[in-house]
Amino acid sequence: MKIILISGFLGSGKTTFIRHWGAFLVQERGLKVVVLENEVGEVGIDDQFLARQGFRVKGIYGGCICCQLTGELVAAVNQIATEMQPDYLIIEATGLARPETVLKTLREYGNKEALRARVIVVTLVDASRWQELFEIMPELISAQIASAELVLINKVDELEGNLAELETKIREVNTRARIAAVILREGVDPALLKELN
Amino acid sequence: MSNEGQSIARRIKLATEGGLRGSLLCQTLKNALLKLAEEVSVQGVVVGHIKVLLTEGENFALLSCTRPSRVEIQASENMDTAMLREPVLHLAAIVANFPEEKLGGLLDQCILSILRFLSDELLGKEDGQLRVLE
Repeated sequence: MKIILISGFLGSGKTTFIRHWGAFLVQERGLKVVVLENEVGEVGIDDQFLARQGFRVKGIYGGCICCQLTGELVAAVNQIATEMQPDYLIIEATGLARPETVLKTLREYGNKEALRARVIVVTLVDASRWQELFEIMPELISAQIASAELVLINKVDELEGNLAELETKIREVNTRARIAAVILREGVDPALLKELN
Repeated sequence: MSNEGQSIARRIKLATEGGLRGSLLCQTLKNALLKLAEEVSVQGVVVGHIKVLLTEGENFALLSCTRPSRVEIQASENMDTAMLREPVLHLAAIVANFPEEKLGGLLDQCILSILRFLSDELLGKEDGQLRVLE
């Protein structure tokens, strides 16, 4: 079971990305995919949205899996691994989560058999609010970028400023990540999805 | 979880005998979200996420707002033309560093404005009474 952790601030496009990528894995590759949705609120919206599009979704609500609901995270991942046995488990963290703490929890307490493969972190960055969000909460945004193998800069058509400058800022926080610019509301380049697969 | 985010959610189920057209409902929700976004925005952006999931049967629409100037809508194929008789609305606002009580009050005002607008739209129609079931 491959595990992909999707990170990024609230409203950055995490669920939209999962919708595109999940559809690619299921429809193009014929793979079995389960999505683990974590939402801060007591009521889930993203899980219902994804379930309506045919995804198998399990939800964890009312807190964040990086700090408040670590036990629920481990139990859910272990249960999915043993009972559902998907090819891919996509975990959507809340927009306030720090991916490194989620990884730490999975490494320390997760089922070793289920977590044989390395967990890949994909972080969404909202280009339309980059300047404001980075100014208001630099630590959180930096932490989300720092853990990523892939950083997707979403809504680049709404960026007020220079994309190259934004990429440089991201590169200052994370020197090793692959960075790609996307407009998820218009879709995702199949080449990028193939690369991810 | 740093930068504690306040999260408020509401669920309401509406009913009209004649039905509400999906496009009208989506536009009404969009206008309400834009107004709410204005109330909670800082430096011109929502430091969080406001969203609504509208469902009835196979029809659905997800409206997402992160700026007072824009709402993104992802909807099922026939939502615009569908006549919705018992639509369900799930509304959620998650905003960092914003007083929870105030956020709840603003979301409730947002719902009231939606109901008021839809009632006005249906006024005078024979089968147009709007009821809140849940």
